[in-house]
Amino acid sequence: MNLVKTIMVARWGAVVGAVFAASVVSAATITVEVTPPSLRVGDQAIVSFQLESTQEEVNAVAGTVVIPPFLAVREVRDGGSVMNFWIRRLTTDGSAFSGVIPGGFQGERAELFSLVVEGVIEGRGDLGVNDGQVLRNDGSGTVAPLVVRPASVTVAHAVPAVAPAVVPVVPDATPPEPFALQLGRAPGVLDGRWFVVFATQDKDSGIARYEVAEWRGSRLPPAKQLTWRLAESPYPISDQARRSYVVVRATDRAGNTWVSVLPPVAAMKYKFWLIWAILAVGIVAIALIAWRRSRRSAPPSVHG
Amino acid sequence: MAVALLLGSALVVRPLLATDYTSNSFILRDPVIVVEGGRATSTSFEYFSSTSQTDIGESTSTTFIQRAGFLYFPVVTSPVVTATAGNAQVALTWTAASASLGWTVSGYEVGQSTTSGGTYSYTNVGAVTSSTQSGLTNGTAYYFVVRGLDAFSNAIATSTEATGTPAATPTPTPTPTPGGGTGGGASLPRPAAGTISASGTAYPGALVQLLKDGQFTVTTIAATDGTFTLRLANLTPATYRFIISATDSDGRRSDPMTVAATVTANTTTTIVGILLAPTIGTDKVEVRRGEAVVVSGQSAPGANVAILGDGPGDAEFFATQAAGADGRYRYEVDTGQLVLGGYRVRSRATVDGVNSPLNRGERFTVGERTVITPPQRSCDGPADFNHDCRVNIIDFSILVYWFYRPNPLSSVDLSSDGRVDLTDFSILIYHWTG
Repeated sequence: MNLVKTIMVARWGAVVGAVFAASVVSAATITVEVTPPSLRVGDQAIVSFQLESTQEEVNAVAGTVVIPPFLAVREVRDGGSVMNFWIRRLTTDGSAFSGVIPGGFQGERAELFSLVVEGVIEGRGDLGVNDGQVLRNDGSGTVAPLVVRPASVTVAHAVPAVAPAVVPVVPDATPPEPFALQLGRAPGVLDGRWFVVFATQDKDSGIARYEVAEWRGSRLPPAKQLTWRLAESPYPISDQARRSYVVVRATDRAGNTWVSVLPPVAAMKYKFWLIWAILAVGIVAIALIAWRRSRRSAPPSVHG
Repeated sequence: MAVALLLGSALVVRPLLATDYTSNSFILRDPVIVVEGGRATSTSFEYFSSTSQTDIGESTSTTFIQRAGFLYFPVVTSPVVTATAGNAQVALTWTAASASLGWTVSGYEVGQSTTSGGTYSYTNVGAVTSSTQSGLTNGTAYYFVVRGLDAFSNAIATSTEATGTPAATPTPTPTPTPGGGTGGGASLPRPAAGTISASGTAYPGALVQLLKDGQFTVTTIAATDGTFTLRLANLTPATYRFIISATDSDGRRSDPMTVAATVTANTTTTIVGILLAPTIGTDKVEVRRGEAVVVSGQSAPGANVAILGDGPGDAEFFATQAAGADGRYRYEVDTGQLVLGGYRVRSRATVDGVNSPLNRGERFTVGERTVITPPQRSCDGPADFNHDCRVNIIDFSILVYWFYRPNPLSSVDLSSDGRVDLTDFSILIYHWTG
């Protein structure tokens, strides 16, 4: 018996240890692909950044894209991104990005975004992601292991007789997805003022910008008569009494728009009392008319 | 010779360390699982060793079957399938089957039939979560199931049946030339739209909610048998992420279930086989050792609910309960056998062979005192910064405001590290309700 105890228990084949021991989890990956990988000065290429996490659910991604200096970013395409909400949206001027995925993501490759790049000088290098972070959908935001798979690209000298290759424009005749507006207020946020929040997606070319307008009046005029201001959510409304229409216009990168309207909150109360006032006046008017008719039809009084 | 063989086997196999088990009256040090059964006693305890070994095994006779080993209780979720019909084809996507306690999903096979319920013809598609069945006949209804396979190609999880009827691609509706907006609504008419239909099982009378790309879209009330169908029309053809969740009649929210689906113009994409994880709660947050903790919640009526608990070291407990006709289940955990420390208890449901995911669970502590769980208000959750009983785009925007601003309010610093960064967003999204 002591000899058996010293040798310990042998395990055959199966994974009982997995019940008690920590399991080894494969890392999430961000894979970069460039098409074509070889181009000439003046040519364009598509660079795709894809997230994969087959072993565990993740819900937040951030990083900084690495673009060699011989390439210039001409366009950002995030219309089909797996990220529903951007904290920091990638732009042609910036390199940092961060976003979240409500419900979490676990699966094979899904696109984060893609870039249209153009060769500006000859060179050879890698496209990748620095400071990449992928967080688990576990309620604690723990960091998941991440592997970045960069892509190599080569830019050769241009051939004058050959027209540069360009990436086709994404055909996009579809407006952004419809969205609702909500007003909110929270301590410490925007000095406690009322703000409007908004977010939507465009499944083709992606959202280019949001604009906000406010209108005080009984009827909203056409959009071109409104004064639009570039905005990000949360956006503090000017009319803190909330008697104005709040209008938000989402524009995608192809110029298509979707406009959402929030009617005045205070106007609902005015309408309520206005209706009762009209009714009251009407009742009084009817009563007055009825009384005067009854007086006309009554027999004249006799004096004498 | 036997010793040599035994020593030799120890060199080539990977040993598994046992651990001490304690109670108030004895300590069992390094118990060894022997091949044959046995019994050891003292004045204060009896120790029975079973005839099983750590691996699974089965012994049968004409009058009994004994199944031994913890591996007879592995868990795996069933894939949830989305079917999108096209021209002579049906595109299938499914959620990954998640396995634990001895199972690992290594791949999938797709079963296809022209008769509902099969017999299916199976094709191994590998470790992917999508497949397009092509070469089909337009106008004929096809029925599909997806099975998760283990490393030995055994089917360990089967989805419910999905159906699709291929049809010739309709003539696209002409779309106007892109232009600027005119205000008061969309600037352009939307292209030909598609429809999503999602059906499954929650809890009797539950409020079931569908989010599209993280934002609130539509709700319905589950039937008395827990079944529901949600339908969303006028969707632009594209890929969406849908989140389905439910609130039971006691006000407990289920864990969200996320399904990605591609909507096609003039087509209804169906998502079938949704089985939400049970809701769960405990009557105590801390319990004096020896007293019982009641684990309860709701599931589909008659579901087989498996309850799993894990705690310090290797401490675990496992039980199964049948949910009642009202969907409720209840189990009392005897903490007399548990060591002191924090525990997590989770549950999952099985209905007609389909497994739900394990829920996120509840936590309780086995200690020196008993603390009753306070009444839960739906507005008490973290990340509900504006206290509207929801965690949604308003709370997300509030956190965006504080992103990397100095000296954030403690209420928005969800990770309590003195700053608002990606970690806080991850925690907020975990609690997302839409």
